[in-house]
Amino acid sequence: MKIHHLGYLVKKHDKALKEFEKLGFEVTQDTVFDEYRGIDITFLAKEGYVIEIVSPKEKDSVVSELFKKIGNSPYHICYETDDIEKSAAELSQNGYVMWEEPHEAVAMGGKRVCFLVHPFMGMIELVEAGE
Amino acid sequence: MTREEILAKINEIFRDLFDDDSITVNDATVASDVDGWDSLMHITIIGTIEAEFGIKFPMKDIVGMKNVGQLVDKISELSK
Repeated sequence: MKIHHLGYLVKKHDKALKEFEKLGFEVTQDTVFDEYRGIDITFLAKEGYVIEIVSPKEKDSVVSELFKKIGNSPYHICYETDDIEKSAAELSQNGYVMWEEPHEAVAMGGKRVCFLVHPFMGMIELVEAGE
Repeated sequence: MTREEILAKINEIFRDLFDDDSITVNDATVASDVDGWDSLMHITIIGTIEAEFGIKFPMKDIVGMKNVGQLVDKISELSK
């Protein structure tokens, strides 16, 4: 599977964006509020590397617990797949456990994403390929 | 494996994952009893148990188990 982006968890979204811009990253998609997950998301890129800035906007957001544990930190790599159900099933047979089942992501043009966790390496995201 | 053997193995897994040799879980233990047993750690516990016992939990069971006793029962059922 092709790498789509690196997910980066932060608390202070706008301040974090400014710091990434100082490092040469450019915003490729302005901040979007994902109501389903209770988070703000912005995409940036530098030299072909794409990062997704994620911050909790609600107390019960999908990353609120995680932020308390790891703070500001990269926390997942997202991979593109042509068949999200098939890839998730294959990963599940190889030790991954579903963390969040496939659901539309407004910050990714409505494409479905899902999250899986491997006990020995942590979290990954899958996103449906395509425009 | 007997229930007691499964529970002993679960205790080994908890002590390793939480890096705390003093942890002892029993049938009545719930997530709020163990400091750090949040939703991400729960998934990590499930994945480790799957690897150690060579089983696969159905999705409904991953979120449906209420205490360690139910976890032991499910492992026993899936190990047969």
